[in-house]
This record gives sequence, C-alpha cells and structure tokens, in this order.
Amino acid sequence: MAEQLKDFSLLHSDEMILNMGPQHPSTHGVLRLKIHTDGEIVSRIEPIIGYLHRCFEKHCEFLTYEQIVPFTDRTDYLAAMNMNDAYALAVEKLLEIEIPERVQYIRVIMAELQRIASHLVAVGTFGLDVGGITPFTWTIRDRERILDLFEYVCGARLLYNYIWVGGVSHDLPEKFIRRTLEFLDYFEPQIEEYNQILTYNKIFIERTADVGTLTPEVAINYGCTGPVLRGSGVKWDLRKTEPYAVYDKFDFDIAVGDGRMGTVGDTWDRYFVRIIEMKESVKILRQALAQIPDGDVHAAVPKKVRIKEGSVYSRYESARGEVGFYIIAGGKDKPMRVKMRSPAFCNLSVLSEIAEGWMISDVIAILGSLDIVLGEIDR
Amino acid sequence: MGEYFKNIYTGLQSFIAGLQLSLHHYHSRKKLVATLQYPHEKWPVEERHIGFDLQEYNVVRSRLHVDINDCIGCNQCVRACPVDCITIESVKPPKGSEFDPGTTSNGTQKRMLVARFDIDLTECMFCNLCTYPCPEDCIYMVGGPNSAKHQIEYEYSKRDRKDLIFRFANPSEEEIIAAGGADYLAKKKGLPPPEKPAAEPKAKPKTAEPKINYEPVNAITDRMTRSLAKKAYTAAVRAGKTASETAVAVKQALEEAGKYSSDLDTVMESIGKAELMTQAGPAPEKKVVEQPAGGLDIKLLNDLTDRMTRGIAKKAFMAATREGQDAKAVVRSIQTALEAADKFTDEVKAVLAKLESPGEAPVKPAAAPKTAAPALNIKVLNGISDKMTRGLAKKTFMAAQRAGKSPADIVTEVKETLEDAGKLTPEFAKIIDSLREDA
Ligand code: SF4
Ligand code: SF4
Repeated sequence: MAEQLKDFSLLHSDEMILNMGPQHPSTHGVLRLKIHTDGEIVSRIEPIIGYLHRCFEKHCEFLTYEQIVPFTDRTDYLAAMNMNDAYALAVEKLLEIEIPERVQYIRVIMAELQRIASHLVAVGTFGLDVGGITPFTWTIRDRERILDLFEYVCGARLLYNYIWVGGVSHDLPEKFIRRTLEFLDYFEPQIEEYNQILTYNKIFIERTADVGTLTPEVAINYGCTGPVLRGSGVKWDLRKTEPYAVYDKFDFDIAVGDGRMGTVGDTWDRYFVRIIEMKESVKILRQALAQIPDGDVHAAVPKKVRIKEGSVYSRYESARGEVGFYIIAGGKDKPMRVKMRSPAFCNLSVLSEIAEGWMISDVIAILGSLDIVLGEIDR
Repeated sequence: MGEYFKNIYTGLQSFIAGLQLSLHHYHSRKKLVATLQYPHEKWPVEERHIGFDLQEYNVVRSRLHVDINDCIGCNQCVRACPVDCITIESVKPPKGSEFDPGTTSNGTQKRMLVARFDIDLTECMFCNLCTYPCPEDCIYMVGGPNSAKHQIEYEYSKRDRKDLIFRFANPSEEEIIAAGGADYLAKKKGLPPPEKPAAEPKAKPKTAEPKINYEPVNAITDRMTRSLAKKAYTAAVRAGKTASETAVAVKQALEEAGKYSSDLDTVMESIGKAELMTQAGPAPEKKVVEQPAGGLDIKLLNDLTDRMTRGIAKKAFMAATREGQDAKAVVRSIQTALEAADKFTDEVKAVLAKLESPGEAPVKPAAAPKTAAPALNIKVLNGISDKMTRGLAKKTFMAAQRAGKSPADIVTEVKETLEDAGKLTPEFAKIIDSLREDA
C-alpha cells in the first residue's frame, strides 16, 4: 500500500523541480504543475494556470445580458447547461421575475442530465489516469447518449445556449420524456458495471484508498465545494441546503464520502461520491420527468433585458461545486461587472496541500479526483 | 500472511470480474456499439418543429443559411450576434428612384438592396442567437442529418479557411448602380472619388429632370398593391401618358394582379387629376444658390472655433443665401443671428470680415501665420502641465493666429482667455509670456 512520507529530514537529498504540463494528458487541459520533488516524493506543487484565459469577465461588460449566455457555455464546457443555468438564475434574481414552473422543471432535467454527463467524464478520465482504459470508453459511450438527448432538444451537443434569461430557447420535443426515461432505464445498470470494472477493482482501490486525504477542515478552509467537499464527509449541497428552482420538491440524498475503503476524504471517496451522485441524479430525473407540468417556456423571457441598478450574488450547485455569479447592473442593457466564482479553481488550490508527501504517480490520481476543467479555472 | 493471500485473492477476483464484463460486452457488441462509420453513416436525429414560425426549421446546428431574397437588410441579426461575425451592407435607393428591391415571401416590401451579406463562420460560435430576431425568418441553421430536406451539403467543411466566409448576397454591379449605389461600389473598389455615374444621379434631379409625383399612389394603404401600382404608374409616366391614361394603366395592372378593389376608385380618380410631374421649380434655383453665392464661401466659417457659434453662423449663412441676399446682407444676417445668441466675439468679427471681402481675406490667414505668427512657437505651450489649461491655451492661440493677430495680441488673448476660465496661474502666465521671448 502506498505510504505518505511525513518526515522529510530523513532524506536530505536535493530538491528537483519537475514540470508537468501544460501539454500532459493527465492534467485534463492546459494546466502546468510545477512539482517540487525530493526523490520521487512530492514536497510542494505550484499549479500554474492562465493558458486558457479568454477574458470572460471583461467580455461580459461589452455584451448584452442575453449575449453572455453562450459565453458561459465556454467556461465549464463539460457542464455547459449548468453554467447557463447558473447565469440565468443570477440575472433572474436581479430582474426579480417569476419563472414558469415548466421552465424550472426543464432546467432541473437539463442540469441533472448534464451532471451525469460531467461525472461520466470525471469517472472515465479518472480511470484513465490510474491506468484503466476500458471504463473510459464506456463512460464516454454513455455520455454520448446524453449529448444525443441534448442535441434532440436544442441542436447542439456541447455548447448549448439553451437556458435563456427567463426561460429556455425551445420547448422539449414530443418524445423527449420517453427517450430520457429509456436512457435512464439503460443507464442505471451501467453504473453497476462501472462499479464492477473500476470502483471495486483491487488495483484501483490500492491506488486510491487512503491516498491524498482531504480533511473536512482543510476542505472548508480552502473553499472546496461540490464532490470534493462532500468526499470529505461534509453534507453540503446547495440543491438541499439552499434549494433553488424546484429542487425542494424532489426526494434525494446528499452523497458523502464515508471512508469505506480507507479514511474519510481520500481519493477513492471523492471518486465514489460522483458515482453515488449519478444515482441520485437519476432519482431526481425520474421524479422531475413524472411531475413536469405544461406551460409556455417563453412566457417570462423579457424582450430586452435592461436592469436599472443593483447587484446580486447567486450560487448554484454545478457538477463541480458552487458556481457563483456576482453581477453589478449599471442601468444599461449590459452589466457593469460580472464576477464568476469558479468551483474548480478553489478545488485545484487544495492540490498542493493534499499531494504533499505522496509519489508523483499519486499526484496524477489526486488531481484526477479533483475533476478540474481548465476552461472554467481560467475563464 | 493472511493479508497477503487475501490481497492476491481479491486482486484475482476483480481481474476475473473485469474479464467477464469484457467478454459480455464482446458478445453483445452489435447492440451496444457506439461508433458510427462516420462519413457513411450519420446520426439519426428526428426532425421537429421547434416552436417558432419556421416550419421547415431543423434544430441541428450545422451551419447558418440565409435566404437572401427574403432579407430586408434590417440588421437585427447583426445586433444579436455576440461575436460580430455577420456583415451587412445595403444600398438605399434615393427618393423617387424607380428601383424596386422587390418583396419577401412574407409579402414585406423591401426598402433597400442588400449588397453584401457575409457570415464569417470561422468566428461564428453557433449560438443561434441571430436566428430568433429575424422578422422574415430568413436566417436559420441548416444541415445535419436532415439535410436532405434542405438540399444543402452536410458539414460545410472546407479545404481553405477563406472559404468559410460565406457570401450570401451577390447582386450584380448593374443592380447596385440601379439602386443608387454607385458611391458604395466605388468605395468598395477602393476608388477614392466617386465615379461619374455617382455624380450624375446626384446632379440630375437638381437640375433639369422633373420628379415623378407619387403622391396619389401613396394613398394606397396595402403595401403589395402600392408597390404594384407604383410600378405601373412609373412606366406610364415615363411613356409620356396623360394623367387619365395613367390612371387607366394603373388600374389595368392592378386588375391583372387581382389586387383591384372598388375602394381604390378614389385613388384612381386622384391619379386622373393629378399632376404627374412636380415641375422642378425651385430646384434649379437652389442649385445656383448653393454654389458660392454672391462669391461668398461658406467654408470660411469653418475657421470659427466654437462649435455652437459655427453652427449658428452656418445656418444663418444658408438661410440668407437661399433668399438670394448679397454678400453684405448675408454677413449682416449672420451677425444679427450670432448677436441674438450672444456669441458675437472678436473672432467672429474677423472671420466675417474675411467672408465679406473674399478677395483679400482668404489670402491673409494663409500668409499671416507664415509671416507674422510663425514668430510664435505653439510648442512652448506644451510646458503647461494642466491638460485642460493647455488645451484651452492652444485653442485660443490657434484661433488668434488664424485671425491674423499680431504676436503681442495673441499672447494677451491667450492670457485673457485663461484668466476668464480661472486657470491662469503665475506659472502658466510665465510660460505664455515666454512665447514671445522664444520668438
Ligand atoms: S450563430 Fe451566434 S455567433 Fe454565429 S452568426 Fe449567429 S449570432 Fe453570431
Ligand atoms: S434579421 Fe433577417 S431580414 Fe434582418 S438583416 Fe438579418 S437576415 Fe436580413
């Protein structure tokens, strides 16, 4: 079993700096890690970001409220629906408009499908990071089906611009509910397969259990959210703790890590939280698909968004954690300032803390379990 | 020891479990296969009506397409686009031109000719935002597996990036010129002066050619009918028909199109009585007036530095020349106008003096800075540290210089202006004084 080195004074060898990335398959995007090593033991990691910076926040100051939506797609491109939703939620809070029930349900359905899709990538690539190639092909295959559903709804597979301020761009197509239910029926047994081939695989457990343990205190201090925080056993999920949209109408549990394979908050726990969350999302989806009311999805879409004055901070639980939008309106049809709180950015910041004392190969597993998306970190 | 064997056991177990799964997938591969043999197979996506007016709309976002014959050039799509990748240039036919840009398939009368409609698909991010505001539903996404319905190629992949700039509008040069776009054409070709045809249509209506009087036809409320009627009316007038003959011709044309109804009778009657041409009465006169009237040149007024003053002066100038006043009277009316607005300053006086005696004055300002004023170097004023003050000082300096004042006068004037503005500090005064010393 892997062991964490606690006392560096034993070795006293020279420090070496190793560059990982920005072109490295295990860094999940253009991230550069400056790893200070002592032999093969990591003593410190400096994540260097900014390779994908596109001035999202500055751009927003020159775009109308509606035009920003496609730009939010491009922040977290693996959970674009979530980002659309988070942004729309913030602007609606500022506008103080009532959103039709049907729209709320559609958004929940999209958000949960997107959460599954995003977690599938996280689980698949995590498997890839620790050496299992098959699970990746399987998860990507199932994600494709979700993307098909999205394409069926709005015509795009990755960057949707589907959730608008005040509504959604088009109503659900006729057969959407049936097809989504079909997908869920197909998908649920698949989760068991992932468990069999990856989650309970002995080699996988050896690589991840007890490795890179993140204690709840450290997680909270670093501002970690989402599965990373819940992996440490903290019951914090904005869908439950601060319900927005219609989440208070559904019955689901917050997935938390319980240290089943080792200690609470280890890499395996962070991974497993995502598996449970997918199951919970399926639960929410089934309820939402059964309850969805009729209505006009364009009823509340404002002709032109123009916000007098005021500011708002709105938080939203995306697949990676708490997405926050802080918007200051300046009386025009364009916002004066948009600040986005990126969950992956905060989650990445904890890397050096939890990777210290582990081997370089463990760093890859730990980084994989944080599930970062560079598009969102750099914006 | 027990741990050791247990580990081997669980390791083997998960190994076998994995193999079993793989085997299972191997056997059921046909059912679960995810890969499509792409160029030969395409995803089956059902077509659907997506809930706005375009029945034929296909929700797959493959490429933007524009039905250019339906486009009215309203620029709504350009305004909606977050990345500015649509470029529209349109030519508006001048008033009274008989050029007809046609109607859209919704029956909207177009107002202008769309001369350019480019979409740069290298920049487009397929957000679909441009398609919603279009009043004619003529810009939309096409392609995808349902492209059979649209008869447009699949992904629009191109071998060269340049080919990804799609040009939808392609009017011929004759069309653009007919729509009165000769200027536009010249600019596009990079020829600085407008070509001859550009100058002609401008000059023509002013000089001789009488205008067709569309007033009676404009009384028709229905757009389609009106455009039809106008066409027939224009043709008849051109052919030199009399009023009553024209009315008959228009009526005939409308009847043929099945658009004639009895409530149009009054309109026809009014056509029968109308003067078909507005005799180009005041036009030729106007032309003469606009030429340097009575030897006065309006450009001289550009020397006025204050914008308000300049505007008032020009207005008065134009009004006076239009009335055909002589040079003195023109100057006087400008003066009264400015005095009324409390804008009559020494500077204005100087300019007006120039205006009145164009023979000597225009030479003076050109010569003056060269002889007298160059003695002063405006660069000295750069020593003034405050931006506002510096600007003011320079402005006054230039105005005074242009008015042909002596160096001493310039210096005092600059000083006075600054003092009035409450910006004159001893330090700045020294700098201004140094203007002369420098000389
Ligand atoms: S799809 Fe979006 S980016 Fe492309 S032209 Fe239309 S508005 Fe612009
Ligand atoms: S919105 Fe439609 S009609 Fe208007 S310019 Fe664009 S394509 Fe043409």
